[in-house]
Amino acid sequence: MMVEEGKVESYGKRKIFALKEETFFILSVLIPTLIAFFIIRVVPITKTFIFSFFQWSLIDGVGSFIGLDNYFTLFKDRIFYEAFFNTIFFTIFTTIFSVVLGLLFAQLINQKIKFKSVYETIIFIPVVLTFVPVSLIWMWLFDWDNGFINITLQSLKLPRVAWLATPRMSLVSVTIVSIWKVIGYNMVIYSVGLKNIPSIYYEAARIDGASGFTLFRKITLPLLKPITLFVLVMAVINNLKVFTQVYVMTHGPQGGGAQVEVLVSDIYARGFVYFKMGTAAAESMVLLVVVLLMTLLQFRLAREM
Amino acid sequence: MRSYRIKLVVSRVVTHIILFLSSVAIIFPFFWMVSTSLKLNSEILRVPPTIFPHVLNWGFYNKLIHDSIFWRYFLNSIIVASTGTIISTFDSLIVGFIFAKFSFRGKNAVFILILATIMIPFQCYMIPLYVLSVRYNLVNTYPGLIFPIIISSFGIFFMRQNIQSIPDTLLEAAKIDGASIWNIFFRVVTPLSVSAIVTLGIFQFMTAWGNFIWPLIITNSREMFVLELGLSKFIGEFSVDYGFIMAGATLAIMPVIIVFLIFKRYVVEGITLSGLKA
Repeated sequence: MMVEEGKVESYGKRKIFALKEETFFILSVLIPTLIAFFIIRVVPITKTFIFSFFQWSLIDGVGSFIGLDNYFTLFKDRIFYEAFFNTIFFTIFTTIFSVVLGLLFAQLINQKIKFKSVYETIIFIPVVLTFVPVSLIWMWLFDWDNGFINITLQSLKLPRVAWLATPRMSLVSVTIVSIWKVIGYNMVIYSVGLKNIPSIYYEAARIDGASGFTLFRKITLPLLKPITLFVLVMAVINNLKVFTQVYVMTHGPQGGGAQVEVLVSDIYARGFVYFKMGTAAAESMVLLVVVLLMTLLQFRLAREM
Repeated sequence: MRSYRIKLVVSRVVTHIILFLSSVAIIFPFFWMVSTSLKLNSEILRVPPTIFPHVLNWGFYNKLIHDSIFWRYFLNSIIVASTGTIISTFDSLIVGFIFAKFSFRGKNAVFILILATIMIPFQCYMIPLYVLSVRYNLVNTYPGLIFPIIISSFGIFFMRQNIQSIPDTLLEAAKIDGASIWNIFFRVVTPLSVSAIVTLGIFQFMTAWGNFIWPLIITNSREMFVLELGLSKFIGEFSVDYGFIMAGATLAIMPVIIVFLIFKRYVVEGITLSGLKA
């Protein structure tokens, strides 16, 4: 890495000394950082890719090259498909509901109303919390016998719901918790976007006789497009990586027969419970491809819209 | 004009009703957590449930406070999250400074290399990291818990954006006064980046604090569990003891909520705006 003239130094008097000093500074900072990047990121990512074509277990280490066998094993496994479709279901519903509700709350809060900051703070609180205590709280709310939700349903003469008793219902419950946790994040981001729309647009449109929903559809939504793209990309990426709440709420000793598999929990199980690192690496690559494809797809859609 | 006014009032009232009910619904789980943690076991299981505890029971908290392992979880979380945050924030600041204010051959290539990993989920490369940790005996150690979070692509990008807005003339003036590059970094760049440092620091700390999958993989002895992991084991150990579990959750959540309410502006910026600028 050769150092040319630096912006800082270009007005310096002692050019040659300064250049040496600069080179030394840049190298002494960048080299440790780059080494860390290679060890923590570049090498592990490359290894995951390469070893997904090898026999690989924690106990025996890396074995022989087996081509696509790890992928075939995966694609023949019912659990992989279950994990894949659960992840997709979770991602679609969590993303749609949290983005729509986030936008709705942002709209409601972006008016000159009293207690605005109180509402905003309360709706944002779930965002700052971590998923383990949150999962525990909701497991208690979802409890079959004594959970607040079922007791309320009962007192309204409605049937109780087995929130965490079957894999399907558990997935729905986990989705509800995740939507609840992320609404505030989307609300705050949309609020920033709404504040940046000049009010003159709305005034002009009102003079032309537009109102209510038309204003929203013709002005607000189009102008929020970049923000929506950002919120969607972030939500989709984060939701595809879902793990903690699924693991805590459905894989614990209380999870019993209602274990929900998602891609990350399946990677975890293959790699760290059954020590089949090769198949786990292959599944990691599937997750990576899905994440990258979804991101590309959304950018493409945004450009065409 | 009058009908317009009435319409406005009605819409305000409706807005308040919706926001009020939503806020109550969103905050209710916390209220229920605290309320349950202060009830006696007999009251927790009562039907219909009581909204506020009839008799305040501090028993669960007493049990937790005298449980040394719970404090150990707390301490571990603080050690891991703060060390990781300090290293990664400092590294982001100084590397961001280089990318913002210097030019050298290969700069763009290096920058792109660092940024390229932003999109790749940690879960996609945790297996080789674990194998590496096993080889170097990092399982159940603080270095093992911390090393994956000491660098941050996003942090470097964020700091570069911020330092770019510092005028070159300021740095040149310091240079003319004879300041060395390190001096410029510590005396000019750092003081001018305080709010960016706080914002990034809070973001990194909260991310580190909430990490679950890596501690789950890299630790298996209770003494090394971070709070998140230790808390998740409450379910197995005390399967029906929801009062005790809720007391644990309350103790884990309260510091976070207090910090949030005090530093609300920085926290909101750290979590959201930092993402927006990216």
